[in-house]
Amino acid sequence: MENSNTGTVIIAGGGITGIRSALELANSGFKVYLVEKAPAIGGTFSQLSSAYPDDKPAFCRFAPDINAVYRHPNIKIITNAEISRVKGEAGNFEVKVVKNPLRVNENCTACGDCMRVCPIKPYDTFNEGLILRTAIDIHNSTAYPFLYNIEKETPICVETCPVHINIRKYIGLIAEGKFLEALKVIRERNPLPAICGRVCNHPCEDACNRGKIDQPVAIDALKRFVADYELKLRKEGKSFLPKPPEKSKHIKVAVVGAGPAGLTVAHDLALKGYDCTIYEAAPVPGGMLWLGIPEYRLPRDIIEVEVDYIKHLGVDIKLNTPINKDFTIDDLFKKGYKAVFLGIGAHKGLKLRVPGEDDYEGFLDCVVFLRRVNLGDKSKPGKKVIVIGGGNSAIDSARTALRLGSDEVYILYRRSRKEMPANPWEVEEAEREGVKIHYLAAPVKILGSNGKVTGMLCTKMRLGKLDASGRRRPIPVEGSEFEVEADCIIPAISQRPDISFLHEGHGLEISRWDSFVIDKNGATNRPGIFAGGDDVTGPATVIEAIAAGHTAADSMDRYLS
Amino acid sequence: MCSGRIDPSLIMEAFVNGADGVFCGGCLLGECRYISGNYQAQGKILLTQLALKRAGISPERLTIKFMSSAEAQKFVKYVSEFMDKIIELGRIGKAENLSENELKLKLEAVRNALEGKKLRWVVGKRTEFMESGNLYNEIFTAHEIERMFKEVVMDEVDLQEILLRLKNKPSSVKELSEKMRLPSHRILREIANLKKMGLVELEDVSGSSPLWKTVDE
Repeated sequence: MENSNTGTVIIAGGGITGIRSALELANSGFKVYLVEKAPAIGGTFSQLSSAYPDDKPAFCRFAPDINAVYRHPNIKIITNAEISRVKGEAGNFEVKVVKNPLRVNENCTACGDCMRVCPIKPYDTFNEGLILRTAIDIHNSTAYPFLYNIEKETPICVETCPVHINIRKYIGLIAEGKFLEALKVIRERNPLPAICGRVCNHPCEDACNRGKIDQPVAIDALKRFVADYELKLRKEGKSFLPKPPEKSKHIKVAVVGAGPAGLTVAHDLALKGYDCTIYEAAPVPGGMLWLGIPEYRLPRDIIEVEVDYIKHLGVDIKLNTPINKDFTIDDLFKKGYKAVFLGIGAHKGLKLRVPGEDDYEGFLDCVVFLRRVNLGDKSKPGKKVIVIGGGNSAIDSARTALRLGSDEVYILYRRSRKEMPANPWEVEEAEREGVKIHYLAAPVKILGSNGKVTGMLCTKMRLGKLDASGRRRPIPVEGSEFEVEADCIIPAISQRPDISFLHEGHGLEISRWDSFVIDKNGATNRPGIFAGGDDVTGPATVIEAIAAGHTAADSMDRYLS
Repeated sequence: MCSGRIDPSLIMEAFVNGADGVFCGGCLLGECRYISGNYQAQGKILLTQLALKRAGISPERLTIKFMSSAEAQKFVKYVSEFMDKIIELGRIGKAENLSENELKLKLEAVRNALEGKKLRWVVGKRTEFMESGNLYNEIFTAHEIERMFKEVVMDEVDLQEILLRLKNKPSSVKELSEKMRLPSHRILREIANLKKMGLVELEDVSGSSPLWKTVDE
């Protein structure tokens, strides 16, 4: 054997190609890791009943190779494992391999009795579902030694849900009429069920297998139903809030921002016995839930009820108390808080970067506009309103403007309907309400006279190749400029965290998108300071903020104990 | 004898030996001397009824009634009601439109299914699954358990019937499907399963269809 090569090679896939390459590479001196998703190597090929002209089972010819791989000193086989992340560059890769359990321990002698009595029979995917197999099974009958394993799947809805609520369980409980128990299951992972039941973008329903037959299970609506049911009982005095947990840890924790991420952190930590205080700059709790989402989508009394639930757990929410240059994060530590969570959200609208956007009155960012409306100013923004953007905040702004009495509301989006990030049902409802949406159009210049907006110069767009976000990049069509009249323009083209509240020398690592940089546990570079939600990811969904809150709360608990 | 002690296979023994109906009497629910004996009896009767139904035999031939030992009138009422029911149903097999051999085979299949380890384990795990959950602490709802339970019973009865038929005579999937009045894809599935378990093997090929027989122990 010639050992001229050094280094390590990882091969993903233990089929015939993987095995042959592993042998060749190992023979030329590399150290080889063979990663296979199934419990045994060999792949589909070794299981075929005839793959050669002489009609012998493929395994007869292939077995020596498999044997050689097993015995080769330079090959390490990792079965039942998947590559979850690859980092680095050629010559210096860092690969993360996740190994799945076999769920059968090493005492197995492969007698096969378990298979004969196994009552659970899923479809046999190797035979394209034509026959059934047993839940405990030998994955590959050509493997030596026989490897029995139990394949266990997490339901697709539970896996898709960012906070992994046990959806299967609570839907089952609802089917049995055990509504309060179902709510308890939801509350294990989601502290804001009534809110999520109304505004969640429910990725679980998009993934639901039932959707392939007719319609997905109405997971979100069911969640809303149980949350409302409990609320009704509580109002009638038939159900009561649980006993608040004792603040047994005697450790003070501060949360900045009472949005979904901050509320989740406070909720989780309060249940673990910490003394939590939320500092909120706005006069209302809920963050974007209150300031961004219009009332027709999320009634304010629902937010109040959910916040009251969290307050009831012993969380103190200080409204109108911004953290700023006078009252800094460091002051929080001085006041005795042992850890701080930053959940300030993304409340600063991005600039359009077209000429004239700062020059005229009537040009209003969607965050400013929605905040104004949601805090009680119900004056109409203008007679003819143009909203720029295709996200949920654009749709919210447009529908709100229409409801406030604007005569005509247009949405301008530079891609086509398919690429719109807004929830499709929201877009449909907006159209039905009378919002006119123009696709493939983008602003070029804001027009105005006497200091007021009079209209906008736009250009038509066409779609080019896919960009980094996986959507087709819009390209302006030359010479297609046209003018639209308007007395109010509302850009809704994404937001960024407003980090102007940070004092000098705060020492936090900030990305070029003004967001906080955190590790996988939600911790920032400063010990004791954690972050999560929109101020890390940029504008995202409620459920993702809750997921970030859970992660941060867990690692804060580990940090503090 | 405590009604909780009645094994489903005992009930099936009576049917195999020609009984037209089996009446099971137990103490009032909630008044069991052994805490849960009559609840277990109820569960076992339900299981047996399910298996009988799958084999095409009227589940009404089996019943369980609860009464205290001082309630003679109730006992008389229940027994005469049951007798009327059985007289109305007629002789076992006749009402179900089954020949003597077929009936015997079906009843034996049900008996074998109920005697086997598989159903016993499933029944035994039932309460555990609903109360404390499985190994991964996943608690199943009654709805899910019920659905799974029914599927397992149906599957096991079919499986035992196929085994009995193949023991008598090697047959093809098509023949089995005709005799058992089940779609052939279901039979094929069971045969594939049995082959994997090492319980049946290929005997011969007649025309283009393979004939299967059971493996001798």
